[in-house]
Amino acid sequence: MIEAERLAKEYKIYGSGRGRGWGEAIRGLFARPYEVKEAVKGVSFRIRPGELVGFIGPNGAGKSTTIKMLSGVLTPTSGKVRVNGCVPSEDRRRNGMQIGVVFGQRSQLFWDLPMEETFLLYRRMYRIPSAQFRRNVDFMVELLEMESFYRTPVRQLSLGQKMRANLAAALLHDPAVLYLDEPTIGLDVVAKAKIRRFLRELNEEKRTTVILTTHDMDDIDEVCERLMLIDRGTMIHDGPLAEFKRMYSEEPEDAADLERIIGAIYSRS
Amino acid sequence: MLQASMLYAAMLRCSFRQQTAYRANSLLLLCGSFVKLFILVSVWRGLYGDNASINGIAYAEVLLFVIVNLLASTLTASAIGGRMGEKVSSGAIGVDLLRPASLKFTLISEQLGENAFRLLFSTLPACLLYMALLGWPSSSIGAAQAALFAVGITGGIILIYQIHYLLGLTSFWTGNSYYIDWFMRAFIELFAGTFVPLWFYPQILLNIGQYLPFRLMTFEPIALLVGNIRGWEAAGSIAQQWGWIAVLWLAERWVWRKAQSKVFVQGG
Amino acid sequence: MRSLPLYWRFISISVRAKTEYRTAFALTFLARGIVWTTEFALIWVLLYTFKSIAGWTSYEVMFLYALQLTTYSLAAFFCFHPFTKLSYKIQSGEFDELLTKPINPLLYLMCREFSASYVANVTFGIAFLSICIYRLELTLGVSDVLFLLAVLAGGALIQASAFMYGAIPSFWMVRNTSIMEMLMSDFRSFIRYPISIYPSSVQVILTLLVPFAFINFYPAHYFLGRDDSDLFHPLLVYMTPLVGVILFGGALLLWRAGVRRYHSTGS
Repeated sequence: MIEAERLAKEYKIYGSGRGRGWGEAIRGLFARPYEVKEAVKGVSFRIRPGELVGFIGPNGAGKSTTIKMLSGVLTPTSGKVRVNGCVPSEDRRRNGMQIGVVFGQRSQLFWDLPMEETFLLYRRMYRIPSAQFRRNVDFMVELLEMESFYRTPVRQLSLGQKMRANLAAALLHDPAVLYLDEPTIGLDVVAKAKIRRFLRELNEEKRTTVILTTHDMDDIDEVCERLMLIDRGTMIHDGPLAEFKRMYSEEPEDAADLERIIGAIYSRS
Repeated sequence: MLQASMLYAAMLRCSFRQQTAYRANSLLLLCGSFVKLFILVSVWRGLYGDNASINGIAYAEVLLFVIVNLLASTLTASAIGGRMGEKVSSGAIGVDLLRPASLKFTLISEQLGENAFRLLFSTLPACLLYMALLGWPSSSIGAAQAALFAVGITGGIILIYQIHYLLGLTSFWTGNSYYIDWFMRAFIELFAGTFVPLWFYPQILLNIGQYLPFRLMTFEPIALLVGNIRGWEAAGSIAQQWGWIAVLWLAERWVWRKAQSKVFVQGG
Repeated sequence: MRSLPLYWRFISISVRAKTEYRTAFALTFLARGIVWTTEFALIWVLLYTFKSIAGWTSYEVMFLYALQLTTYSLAAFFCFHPFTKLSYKIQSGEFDELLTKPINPLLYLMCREFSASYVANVTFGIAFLSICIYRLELTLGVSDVLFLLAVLAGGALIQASAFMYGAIPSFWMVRNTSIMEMLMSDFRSFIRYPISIYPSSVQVILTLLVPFAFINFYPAHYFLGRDDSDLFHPLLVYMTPLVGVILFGGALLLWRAGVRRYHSTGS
């Protein structure tokens, strides 16, 4: 159960100082001029357990910032966020135990060894009981079709294989929430399809809440049930995907349509 | 031949100019060189104590040794082995072999460009700053000695680069010449007399060093400057430098032939 | 402390990763060994003709070197890779990963990037220490050995703090994060020799500002039975463990501030 109340995030962007005279330079040593950039301007929402939510928006809209606030990487400038009752950036231990994170292509696995080593480590880190651990490992390996490269050093895996391994690692401890930042970026069509199918099956099997940000409309179309559209730090739309399609289009059948709709919304606002 | 030299001169210039992007680095390196010099002078002052000269070498001459070595080491620093190793393991070496430029002179020009920049904007200013702030004993150097030094140090620098390059070639076999670089550097330091001048060495190491080229790199040129080696011995020293350069060059050609066949057979 | 087996597992992974490449590991071990043995030998050569520097004989100077090498290596196991890579992790956003795990980010960082290859350094450091002790014919009783261990631990903490103070500014500075690292490495070269060869201003700096002299110079007085009348205060000889703890504590506080800063500004 994720609650976000008027979440806002401001960044101070320091300029290099206007003017190049000595006066400016010396003043610059003591107080640099800065601009306040509001990356997220107060978003509120509630996400129930088991929902499949997608955040989309143009670059710089605030999607990544929002997800970082939800996962506890950033502290909000104002507003509140609570995940199952705990504040993510303050209660690191509890937060860590109940979330799984895969950000972009960044791999969290040990490079020179097979993924199994990282899994065994995570078992200890998350204190997973062995029966549950074995069950989950088998579940992941089967669902993600990783038997063929399970024992290969991570260094030698392709991007799609690494992505799958990272997903498995993030889910071994049965987290309540899975955060994904651009999960299918850079992958080929086949790999993308595998991951999307996996996310749906995961959600069905374990009722894991899945929150992802993406630029790829197919990700939304094939995985998400709820869509949050963010532009310039504000939430433009928050609701079921089907309703969104119905509201904005006559024939809401394919993703290309979705893309057109969203494009139209951006240009409108 | 002329065209080739102009090409490498251009590479050197490019490499030199590239360094201007790292301005803050230059300042840091300047401080680093200053500190190094400071430490070395303190050590030698501590060792000499009140004595004016030990083993026939005056304090001023030792300090000359220290500063020339510092400057020379900046000019002859080398990442050539590492760079070659990277090219080999990444396969980029294939491209280099197809280019109409010698790999050797390309690597050396790049390195020289970097080093020249560092010398000019970090090490040299650091030394001058030191001398200005903390003083420096004066020594008189005759014109003949200076000339001999100029010839000697040129030969020495060529010798050093030749050695670096030859060692770098081993990366064709080891994939990453990291270890070779390391222990050769240590081994060389022991016999080159760059940290401790050979004037103060135990005889046994001197005897071994006679058969190695390392003392000819910077130590003997400095000995020429200081007037420690004169007349026929001086000529002999310079002749030995060029003798070794020739020998190592022949070795390099042989190793290069082997390396090339390895690349073409195995595909890099 | 129930997490001890966890951290042990991190270490064993690093060790196993290294030994996957057995030949490479052995070669690096050998190469490093040759390098230090040569450095060690060069000190001996330096003092061959001169017999002593500022009243310190060759094996006494080598003792200083051995203390430096061993404490640096002990710290490097846990600190070299994590902190030299820290600025990269912060800029690339890889640091985020550390904040989403249920364990202390600092411990996670240090164990994740644990570098088993420093075992070579430590082995040789201890070997050189032993050689010096033997050559100097020092007799060490139980309390002496205990103090030696405390000095090594304290010295390692000082070295670890140096790594940390060198890297933690990257939380605030976007570019040029190597400043502090370079400074640290410059200061480290001062203590290769007895600091009494430097003017008192430098000695004060090495004692009060960048207390590296506590790594080897001061404790050496105790083990070598040296007359400590040339020091500002005889107590300095015993203070290494305390200095280590204080500096490291400061580094931990600075780390906390750095993480808080990351929480508010991201990468």
